[in-house]
Amino acid sequence: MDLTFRGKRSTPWAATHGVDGLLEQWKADRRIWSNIALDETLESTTARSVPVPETMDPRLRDALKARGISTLYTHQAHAFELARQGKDFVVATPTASGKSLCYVLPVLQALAADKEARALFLFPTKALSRDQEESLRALMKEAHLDHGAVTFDGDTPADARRAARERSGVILSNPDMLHAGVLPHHASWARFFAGLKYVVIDELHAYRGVFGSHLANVLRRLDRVARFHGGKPQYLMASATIGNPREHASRMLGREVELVNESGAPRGERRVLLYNPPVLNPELGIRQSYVKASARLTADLVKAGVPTLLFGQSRNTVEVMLKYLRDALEEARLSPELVQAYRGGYLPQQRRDIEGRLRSGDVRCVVATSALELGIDVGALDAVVCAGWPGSVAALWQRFGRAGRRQGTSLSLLITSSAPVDQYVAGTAKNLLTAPVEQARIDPDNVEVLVQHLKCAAFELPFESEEGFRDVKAEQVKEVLEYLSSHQVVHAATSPSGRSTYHWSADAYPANDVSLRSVGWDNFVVVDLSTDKTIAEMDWRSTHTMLHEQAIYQHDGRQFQVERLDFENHKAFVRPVEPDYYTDAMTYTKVTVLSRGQEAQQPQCELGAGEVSVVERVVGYKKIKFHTHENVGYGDVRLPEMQMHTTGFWLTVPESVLMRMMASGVGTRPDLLDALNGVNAAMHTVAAVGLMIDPRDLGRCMGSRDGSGSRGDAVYEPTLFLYDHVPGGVGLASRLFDEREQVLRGTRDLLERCECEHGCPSCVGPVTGPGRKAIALAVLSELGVHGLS
Amino acid sequence: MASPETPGGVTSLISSRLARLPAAPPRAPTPKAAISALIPAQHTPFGPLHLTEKSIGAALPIDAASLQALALTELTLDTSAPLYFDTETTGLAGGTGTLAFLLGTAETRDGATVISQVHLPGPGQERPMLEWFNERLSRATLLISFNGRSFDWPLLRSRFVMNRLPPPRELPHVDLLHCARRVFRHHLDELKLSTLERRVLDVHRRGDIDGAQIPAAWFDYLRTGRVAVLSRVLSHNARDVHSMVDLVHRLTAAWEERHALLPETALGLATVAARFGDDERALRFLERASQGRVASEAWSLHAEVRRRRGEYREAVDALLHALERAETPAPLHLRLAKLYEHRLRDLEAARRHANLCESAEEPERHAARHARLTRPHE
Repeated sequence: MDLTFRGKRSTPWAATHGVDGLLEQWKADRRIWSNIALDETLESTTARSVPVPETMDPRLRDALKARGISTLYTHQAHAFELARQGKDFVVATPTASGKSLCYVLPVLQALAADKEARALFLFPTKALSRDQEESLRALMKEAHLDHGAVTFDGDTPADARRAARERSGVILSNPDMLHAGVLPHHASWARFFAGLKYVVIDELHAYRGVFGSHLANVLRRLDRVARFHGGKPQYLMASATIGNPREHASRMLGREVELVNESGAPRGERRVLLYNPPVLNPELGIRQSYVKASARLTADLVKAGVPTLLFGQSRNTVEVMLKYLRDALEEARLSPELVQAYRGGYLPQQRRDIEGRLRSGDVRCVVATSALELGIDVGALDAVVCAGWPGSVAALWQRFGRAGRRQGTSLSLLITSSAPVDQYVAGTAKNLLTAPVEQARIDPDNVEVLVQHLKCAAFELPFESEEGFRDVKAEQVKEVLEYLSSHQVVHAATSPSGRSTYHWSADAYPANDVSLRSVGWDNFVVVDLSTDKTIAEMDWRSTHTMLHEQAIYQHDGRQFQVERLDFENHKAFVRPVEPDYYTDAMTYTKVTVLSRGQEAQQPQCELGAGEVSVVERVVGYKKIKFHTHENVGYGDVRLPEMQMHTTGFWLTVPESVLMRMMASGVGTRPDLLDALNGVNAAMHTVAAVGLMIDPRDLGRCMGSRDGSGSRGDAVYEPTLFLYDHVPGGVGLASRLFDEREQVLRGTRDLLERCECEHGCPSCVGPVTGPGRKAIALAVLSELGVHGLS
Repeated sequence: MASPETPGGVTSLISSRLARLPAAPPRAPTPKAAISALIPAQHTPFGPLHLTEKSIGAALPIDAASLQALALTELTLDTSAPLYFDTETTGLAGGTGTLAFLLGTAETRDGATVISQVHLPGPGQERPMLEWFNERLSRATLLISFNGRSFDWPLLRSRFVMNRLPPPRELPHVDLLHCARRVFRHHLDELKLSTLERRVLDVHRRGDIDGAQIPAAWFDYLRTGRVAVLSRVLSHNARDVHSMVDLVHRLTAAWEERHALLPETALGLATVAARFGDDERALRFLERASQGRVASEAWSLHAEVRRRRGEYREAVDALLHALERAETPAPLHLRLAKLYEHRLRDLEAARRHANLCESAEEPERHAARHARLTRPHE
């Protein structure tokens, strides 16, 4: 006889009531609900589907049928039809609406129809292409398509590369590899380019600013090379929430692109809440820690059995919140294993493992940095908690988009920190749902970027004299080629038929000198000395702040101390420790003018542009005690400075102006410097918009021209710098100099038009007290800057 | 929506940005087909072909079996019409922007070895060279190069694609870099063709151009039309091709035991013979190899050949010889321990050697071995 108990197991969360129940519980708790600054409901929408199109290949239809798919959402069917008509498109429907099928189905349809058809998938990270490779292969297998799908990147073994080039129907790669590893060797890819039917660009929103401008030029080269081999690819793109998906995609391709943005996917009701932690000390304006608040509210969600995603803004906060959450669960006698961290530093198999356990329900909550934003499929989650403002409306919706139940209520919760920007957001919470989403901007015609890619293009194929560069006109191309020719980088030759042709003529591989991204992406590995095992990887830049010697490196809820950082071999050696503190690195930035290229003397200030040296250095670290967040000590860090030579634009305020303003009682010297910092912030905003770049492409810093001011020396002539955040510069600073009148007047305009009273993140930066904006306007008047009439 | 516009002032912007960059001296006009001063053109249906040829004496036959062994290939080679080739290029990084501006070949014609060299007059005029090369390929039975498998051949192949010609015919290809590396690696640190020439062929070049200067010579020619430096590239290339021919004969003669060998070379040849499965020849080479500096390695290889043949006593003897002069004895002790334990069933001797081999294996394996050999006899 079978004596096994058959009854349903009682689980600790069975007693609670999901999102709705928890919201009732929170509402009843004044200590929580009094801090809710926003509580809005987004209505649910029902599915709009159509039958799988008749035009679809039977093998593909059968494969979908076997997965239980007999209808497509309207946007998927629309995308399929657009592809069939030979149109380029960008899909910009919400997260988890089934975007990948929009491009996967047309690609598989093409492969099914033609043995020689090829497709190229581009993803911004290696991890994403590996993920997509798996799911694509599975669907191809089910549809009995034996074309193969292979990831081609720096990690692809040499012997697999040849097979990939010659036989694989789908190549998954990244822009950097296409730029430096594929296009310069296109002769070996002849068959691939000849059959290239589709180029898929997923995560299109990630390609903005200078990186996006580079990609647009790589695509110009791709089109040119494909045409040489007889291919004319169609572009299928997908983007997360941005304000201008169609315009962005069109600029990327230099031609009209169809937009698919009406999602047919169903969506349950969504509650959007903003929790602003209460003020603990009104005099000092100190609020309860948002990190603790986030951990506590998330713990409630986990206890209520709600699958939750908790986003932190840095790796450090992710690990700290993980620790707090696990402590809270242990207190409630739940398994700490229900909460897992997920971040870029984790090795691929660790991340796969977490994804799998999240799907199976063994994991109830994942704490992540933005890594999850990049399209990794973890299924439907009931709640997203954002600890701290993620920097933009677009980024917030990209995170919130992860909460997407098909039916029932899901929760999107933003918890604001005491940082001025966060408080500004909390103060204007009612506008959050209607705030315009930021636009992605690129400038494919940025001259420095264009010239670099024309060099690469000339290396790939000689230029005919009347040849354009996709959407760049022939005469403009010719002008650059003549310039390169005068520098003996290309050679103008007359072909036997009498046409002149520009040939690459240097002993160099130009793609190696052009990096698409402003920061290196060669990772460091973290080695645990107690086991001699590699436990994580970390990108080069984070290394300085996370892996300096003595740093407490947090990984998966455990603490390690960095014993040695081997900079040359890209290795950090750590040992497990159990400290009661974590470390937080302190950095400073210094800009020094190296050479003054252009200068203009205004009556009341000096403007200039030229070469600058930007030094960023980790100067030390703070020891922060867990739970109390007390600062319990400092340490020194000896790391090489991150130095970069680039181009900068600057405005120097003469000492005489400051003296005059102090004498007339506008403000004290610190007041004036604070206001100038605000002017710098506003100039940065105006410049980023005017240059069509991502704000992160342009650095800003206030100091003195010889670099002394940044250290806090008492007297210096304050200089506001805006600099290209790319080694060598990409010409942003000199364009700012050319447009200096407009930059200054636009700055004043921004201040005058901004509706805030004393200052906000949109103009002079968020403020806690009055004064900054008014003083900033006074300073601008003193400098003789008037608004745009 | 608005169409994606190219921002207004791109042209003016380019000019102003470019104008700001330092100006270069005006480009000197390139004299038309200046290469004719060095190599006169021959007329072909595809355009002018700048070809020069010279005979370097009677062609010696190459034994196909010997070359096959030296190349360690399973392909049966046909050495009746070998085509040696070597290119001089505009860069070493490869990629479609790199040209082969000089192509040198050697082949047998009427019993003589003839070196042919084709030089490009300028970029964009590769077709006659490629067609000429295709014709050479159609007559050849075998390709011979130095590092050509990974460099020259893929580069030439790209040139065919770039000129919209069908890819060239694939032939069996012997890369002498790999052959020479196996044979001479015990006494040469670097295996450049020029080193082999000096040390193996006893050829000493005078006034040779440094290989690193070759791309610059081509670019200088493009800018000025001067051919003086190119003439040095031409003789460099001819010498390279000539040396490849000599190297093949030198290698096959050594393989065929036609002359005295240095012990180091004999060891290299023995390694090749052992890998090719020609044990008798390997043992003969090893006899010579065991008379010099590399005696320990020679005996060690000798033991491996014997073991493979099931001659365990001889293998043990050879290992003991090897031990006499070994710098790192532990791996030899390990092999002895294994032979004694598994083949000769002499556990006492096995234990003796196992005690001396600790550093040659992983700790767990060593511990297991030790435990196995020291447990009481059943």
